[in-house]
Amino acid sequence: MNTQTENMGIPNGKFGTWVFLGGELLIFGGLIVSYILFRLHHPDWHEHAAHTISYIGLFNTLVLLTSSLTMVLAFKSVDEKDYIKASNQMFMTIGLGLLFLCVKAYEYNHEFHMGFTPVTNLFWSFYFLMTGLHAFHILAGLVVIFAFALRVRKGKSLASVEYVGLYWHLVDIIWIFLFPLVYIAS
Amino acid sequence: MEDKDVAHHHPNYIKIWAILFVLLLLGMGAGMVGNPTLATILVFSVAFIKAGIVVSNYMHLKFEPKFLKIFAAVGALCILILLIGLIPDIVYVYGD
Repeated sequence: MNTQTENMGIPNGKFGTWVFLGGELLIFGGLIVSYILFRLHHPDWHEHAAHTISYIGLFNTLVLLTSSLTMVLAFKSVDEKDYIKASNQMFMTIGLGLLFLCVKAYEYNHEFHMGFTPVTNLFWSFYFLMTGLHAFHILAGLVVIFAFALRVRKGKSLASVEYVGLYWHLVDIIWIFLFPLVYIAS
Repeated sequence: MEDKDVAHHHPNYIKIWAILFVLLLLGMGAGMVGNPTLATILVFSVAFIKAGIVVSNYMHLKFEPKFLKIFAAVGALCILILLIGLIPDIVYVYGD
């Protein structure tokens, strides 16, 4: 069910979401590109990256991939007019997002105890900035999904499921690149 | 506001998740390849494939009109321009 007017062959809300995602892409793209270029010039950064915990990164990647699945299933449920199921799938997405943040908090705590902070060196500055900004986006997404999950349960704001889903999948894609950059490439 | 039903395409999302899961494991495995250059190429190739699958299927870009595909491609192109534009600053100025 879609309740948006169209001027460009797709609902305006969807186009607006894609424009917003374009801005997000450039924010993270700038950070990631800078990190890659610095890293190419500083081969010794692999020693710092070796202190990140790969299996935690792997677990969190799996959590985010699964949350993307539940979010897109919610979109499908809306199309099938099963709004309670859609709302429940959005709440599952929230649960997985919270799990991601809890694991990230544990990881940060471990790194702080190891003496790695945003001011330790440039690698850790990039690490905390990129993963912290990503975590903030997760948190913002959770708030929005929660707000819409309550409305979708009542059969309202149905188009928003697709739009907030697009945002959530972009956050997933950003992590798909952050994971190899800061964890695997050590 | 106009109310109307819009038919959306829904591929098998669980199958896509399974493919992403396998690619995730492949990416981890690629990181353990002895040759660092080869490992980097493999790891990021897998990451690009995963991102492509998410954009195409979960974000439904493959079902969207051509202009939206071009819009997304321009966004990706901007990142490439950013990469090229930053090379002199980072590699030749701050890199030393």
